[in-house]
Amino acid sequence: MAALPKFIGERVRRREDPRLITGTGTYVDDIKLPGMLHAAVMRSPYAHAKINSVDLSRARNHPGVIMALSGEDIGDKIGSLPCVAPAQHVPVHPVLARGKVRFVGEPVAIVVAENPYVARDAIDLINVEFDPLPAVVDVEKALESGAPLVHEEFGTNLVTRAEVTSPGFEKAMAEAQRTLKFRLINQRLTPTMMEPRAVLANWERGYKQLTLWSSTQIPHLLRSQLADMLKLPENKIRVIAPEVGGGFGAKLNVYPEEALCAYLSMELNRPVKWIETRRENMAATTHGRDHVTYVEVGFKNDGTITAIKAKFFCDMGAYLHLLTPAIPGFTGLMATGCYKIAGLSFEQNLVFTNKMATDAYRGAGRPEATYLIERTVDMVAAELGMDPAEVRRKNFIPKDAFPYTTPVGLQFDSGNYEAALDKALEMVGYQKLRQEQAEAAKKGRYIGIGLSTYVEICGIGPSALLPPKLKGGGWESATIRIEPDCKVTVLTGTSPHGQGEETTFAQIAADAFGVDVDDVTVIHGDTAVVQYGIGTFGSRTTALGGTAVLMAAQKLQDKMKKIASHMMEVPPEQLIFTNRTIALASDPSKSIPLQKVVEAAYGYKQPIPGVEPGLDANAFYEPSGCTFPFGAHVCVVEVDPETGVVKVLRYVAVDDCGKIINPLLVDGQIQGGIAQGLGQALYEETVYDENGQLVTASLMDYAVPKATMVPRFELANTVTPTHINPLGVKGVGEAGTIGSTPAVVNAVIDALKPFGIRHLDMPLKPEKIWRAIQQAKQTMKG
Amino acid sequence: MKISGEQTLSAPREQVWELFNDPNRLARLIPGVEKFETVSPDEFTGTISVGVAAVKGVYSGRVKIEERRAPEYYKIFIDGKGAQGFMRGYGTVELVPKDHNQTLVKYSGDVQVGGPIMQVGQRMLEGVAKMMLGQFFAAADAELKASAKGTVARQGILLNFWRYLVRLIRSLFTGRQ
Repeated sequence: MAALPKFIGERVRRREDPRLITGTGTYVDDIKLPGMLHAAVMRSPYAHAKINSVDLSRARNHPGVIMALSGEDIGDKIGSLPCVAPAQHVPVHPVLARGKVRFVGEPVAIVVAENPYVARDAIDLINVEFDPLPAVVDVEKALESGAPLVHEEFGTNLVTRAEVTSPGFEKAMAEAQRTLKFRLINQRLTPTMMEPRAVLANWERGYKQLTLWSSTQIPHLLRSQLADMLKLPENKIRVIAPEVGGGFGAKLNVYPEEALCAYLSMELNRPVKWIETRRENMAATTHGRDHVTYVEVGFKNDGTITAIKAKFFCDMGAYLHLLTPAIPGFTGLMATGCYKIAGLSFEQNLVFTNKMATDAYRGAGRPEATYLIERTVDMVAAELGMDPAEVRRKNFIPKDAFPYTTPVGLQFDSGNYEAALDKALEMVGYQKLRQEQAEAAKKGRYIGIGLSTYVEICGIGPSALLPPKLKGGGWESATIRIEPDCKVTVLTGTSPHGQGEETTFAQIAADAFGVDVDDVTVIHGDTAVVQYGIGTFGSRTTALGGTAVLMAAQKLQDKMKKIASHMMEVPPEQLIFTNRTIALASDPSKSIPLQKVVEAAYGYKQPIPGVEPGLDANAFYEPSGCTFPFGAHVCVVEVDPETGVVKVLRYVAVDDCGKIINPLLVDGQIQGGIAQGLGQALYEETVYDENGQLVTASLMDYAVPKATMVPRFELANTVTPTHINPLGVKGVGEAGTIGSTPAVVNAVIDALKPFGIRHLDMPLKPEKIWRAIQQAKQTMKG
Repeated sequence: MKISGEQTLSAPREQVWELFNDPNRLARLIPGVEKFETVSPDEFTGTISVGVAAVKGVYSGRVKIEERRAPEYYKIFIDGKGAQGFMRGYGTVELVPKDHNQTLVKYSGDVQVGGPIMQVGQRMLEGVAKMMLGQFFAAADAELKASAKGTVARQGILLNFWRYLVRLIRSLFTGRQ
């Protein structure tokens, strides 16, 4: 038999894909249970209104309707939806509105019927008397005196104000020879995962056990929170996340429908399913971003940036979801980016408004930070008439400065920012491109070149960094079993929703035991099968979950080496795993088939001193620090001055996520990430009108980039391993989104430089650009 | 949603004013009116069926007339809701006499719309509102012409839609509505 290759570092194709692209995977909506009922939710059409009465009588009398409930019917039978992140004002968050509605889409009543169509029809028969109240929509006006209050009990719309100033900030700002002040808007976005949310609850009366299928990123954390809300023991709740069609952070949450379906199934002793519609998804699944930021930057005439001061207004929406007030923290802390900037001071105002809550969305706080600093660097370059690449080089944290402590105390593990920029500039042919840009300008063509050099924070991290109220920390878990037939089963506490760890974790395990990647099965997302785990978010899966797999593998290796040592009569430390054998490291021809060792462990006919039967090991990995991936993106655009349309001509991305387990999957993450970041730069924007009505409530009005709007990517990597984990990996799930948005915006602004335009807020729609050009022409004439 | 425009009706101002102040006749002319009740001389309740894009629904509501200045002006408040959303706001109507026994109707309004009808149909709301107004004016014009002859015009959704189209096409050629 041919020798088996090593799998780590190989472009192994995703083992998930055949079932997904042939429609043979199982999503929540594919699961059909006998006697299953269907729920539909009546939602508030008002952004802010008093509920005078809810009349469910007509809905209840509708043929096929089994049950209809309002917030008053639920009362305290279901606890408040959780927010685990600390904040000064945390409102009660009922699963169905009580007394008042606070955003368009807030659940007001729920109907359960024999089929989803009847449930939906019955929603129209519910009569709610609303007394409309003035809505507060603008994040800055929300803090003015006299603004309508989202939660009267607090007497303010301020959730929390946080102020952080690094030691020596004043001195650093005083050393600046020049300063610039500007305002940036990081607009609200709708995550738009392909599969909307989906819940199926089944209470088995005889067993007093609840099984809940949910399209979630966090089955275990969800189980813990549901146990609290429903007052059930955790070992009587089984949460299963089957195939999950994307989440982007919006499924890192606990939603009303999860608790409601569970409660209804317990009341009715029948399974209850709820599948979110796209319109519901856009109105009532958490949004992302939504910051208004006032920036002041101090710098010297040579381009050295000495200090950054920022004042944030962060729109939290009407309620605080699981991590809502924690997300902006990353923005403030990461605001100095990959630069050695001596002083950082920021004030963050987190604000209630009559809108859907914001929470984690791909990048969660770091895209906002990167946009802030990367736009700032370009503003400084424009002000000084310097090349933006030079300003970056001037300020990079040098490669020999790692581990580097930022002015606000973050510990960067490793980095080589200049190498990534050099490689990206070489790939794009930067000098030549600048000449071509100048040539084109003479012909009246507006070419723009945009750079973005980012650093972000992944694999968070030591548990102490996570919110104290979160049940579970920054660690991750894995169990590995070698079955009697010598096949390897990996149980991971992470919960993929498109990331492909059935492939990457199989690669790690296959290399550990010297077996084929197809000998490994990876199981996830079922709390009755998998040991407690934390989940998949924050680009943590490979760095934390992958390390846990490696640690569990090492424990099993030790045990198997002991058995082999006993059988081969050589010391265990001289043994290695290779090609489905355990062999002598110095002479691999002296080996014993892995199968024989497995048989000895399970058969146990000859007891091995100091070794228990079976082959099962489990590990919990608590990281000592966070990882900080980085990279350099270059975007080349052409702006049509007649129409304002932006065409992306080239996109080069060099990303460094430490060691790479599977380059194919890294490329996939970067491609999807860039597409999403480009979406924010050019197209996407969640809009509420002045009355708090959601205007972008369907995919007709919310512009997600289509394949034709996304350029071909030229991708490469540099590899700077981290010492934080034994795999040397950093994380890559969000990097593309973080790096791309400022690269695209910087390119467009660069193209508009001849018009004297220094900044435009996203999304850079043709209309906005066209208007800016017309205005600039007027100004030039005048 | 803000909406405004003007339409010419083929009758003297007094007759138009009379029509515009006769709720029972108006109810026949407004497309989709299903139920109509008079609460007081200036206040009416009723239901109206409206479809915008994929969102079709029945809305019940209240209409109140204020600032009535015969024979030239009034302000009208509306407040309606249905399973597909709500609408609240006001409109103004102004009648200006024209030559040849015609009357120019100037109208404007500011209506707040919410709920699914807004979320799905907002791009089409204005168009639908304009079309409904167009159908109403076509029906009103037919009604006024018929009553001048001492007859009563036939009314119906299809018929008024047809009248609306004819007026629209005619306006394309004459450059006026």
